[in-house]
Amino acid sequence: MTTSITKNRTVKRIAIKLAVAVFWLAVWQVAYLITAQELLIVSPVRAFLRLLELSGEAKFWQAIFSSCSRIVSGFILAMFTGIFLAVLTAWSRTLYALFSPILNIIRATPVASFIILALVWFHRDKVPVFLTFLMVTPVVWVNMYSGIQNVDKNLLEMAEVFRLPLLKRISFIYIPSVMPYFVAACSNGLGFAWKSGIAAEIIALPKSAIGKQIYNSKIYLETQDLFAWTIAVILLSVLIEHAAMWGLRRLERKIVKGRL
Amino acid sequence: MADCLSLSVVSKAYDSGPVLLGFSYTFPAHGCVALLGTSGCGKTTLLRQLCGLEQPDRGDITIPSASKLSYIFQEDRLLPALTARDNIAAVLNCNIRAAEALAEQWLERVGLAGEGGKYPAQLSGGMKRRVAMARALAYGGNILLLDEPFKGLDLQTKQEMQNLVLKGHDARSRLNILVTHDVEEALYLADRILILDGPPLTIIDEVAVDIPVHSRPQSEDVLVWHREYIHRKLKK
Repeated sequence: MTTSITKNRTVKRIAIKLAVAVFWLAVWQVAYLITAQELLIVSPVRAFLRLLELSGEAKFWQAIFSSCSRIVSGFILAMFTGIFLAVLTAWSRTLYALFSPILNIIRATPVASFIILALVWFHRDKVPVFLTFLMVTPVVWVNMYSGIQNVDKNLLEMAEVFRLPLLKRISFIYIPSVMPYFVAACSNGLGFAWKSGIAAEIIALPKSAIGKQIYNSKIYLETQDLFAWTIAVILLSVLIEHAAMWGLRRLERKIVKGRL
Repeated sequence: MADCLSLSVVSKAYDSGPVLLGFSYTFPAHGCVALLGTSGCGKTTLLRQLCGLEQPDRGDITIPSASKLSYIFQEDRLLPALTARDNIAAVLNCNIRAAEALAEQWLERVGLAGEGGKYPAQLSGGMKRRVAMARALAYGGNILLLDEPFKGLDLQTKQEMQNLVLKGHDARSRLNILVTHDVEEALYLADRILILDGPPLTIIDEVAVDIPVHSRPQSEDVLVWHREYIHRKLKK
């Protein structure tokens, strides 16, 4: 009985998602029909067909792989730095006061300024990694900091009374409490990572990159290529986000269970 | 009295004012001492000082050497990510198999046999209370602090838990400090009752209940006298 209810709910959820996708594809198609200019908007069918065409080429996969590795590297680096800074600033108010202006500076500075500066400092291949790192670190930091601040103080007191060792406190109290914030950080951070990483690639034009292909499609006015590459970025972003969430859930269960 | 838990001229103040002001008391080595007073008089603050969750602004707290202290909090304070069994096992300092076996034993003693695999969110309020009690008892120790531990339990479960926590042989060999504002509960379980007022926390009177704990329900006439005496003191 429970299985059947769960199945029904899953089917309903998928149906809703499909309906939403169909609705927005229809809006896109209507916009295409209204403008009636392929240079401005290509039809959804044309864009997906072009994506299919591109996926048959080796350089497509090279670009996908190179961009993914750059963006994921920057993202992972940002994760570690963000978590480290969150722990540090949650632990000491002085360190919070010392590091928090960096957040405001990064938020206020235009991304393009960082890209140009990074082009001066690093090889063009490294610029997207640096930019992704720079844009994602504050997102992770802020989310994780809030997570640590919101850990249930009653549970920490309980741990204190029962003399729970630090590793048990981290596994049983901090990680489960911080996990929703970490998931939000990953979800938002991945979105930022793709946006900033691809933007950096468009300006830095590293060897073999999605950003470079988008730049070329702009130069040669190949709107269908622009749409096809953009769809590829969206699909990659969603795919990686889902994989990351799945991995995180498994990791949390393992950590909590493994520490007993 | 060097081996007794004691407070000597302890003071503690919050923004709202002093809660403890030169408070002194020496607890006996074992038995049950009930701290009886109205809500907000400073009973919980006293317990928090005793277990080291808060430090006094002034004064000394002497804890006998080699003491192990356990605590049944006012709230359940169960780890939401762990099952009832694992919540108990988590505080035990032995290997996982032994800890889980001991946890199961304690769950059985609190009437929750077969419920060990459930998470706190899947348990009722009363069941969570009992898991919290099982955790504190499984942890052991020679001092048990109880902050209104039987609040929210139905009458039958309450009596079962009172008997388990405070009337067993183990219970009488350790020091139990019971915070309550229920006169009946204090009379039923304690050897000494501190009638408190505050803040700042003040001992109005100390009543020794000289009836063996197991024969209390039968000694109704003596209890009536105590009950009336305590109520008179509380009214003052």
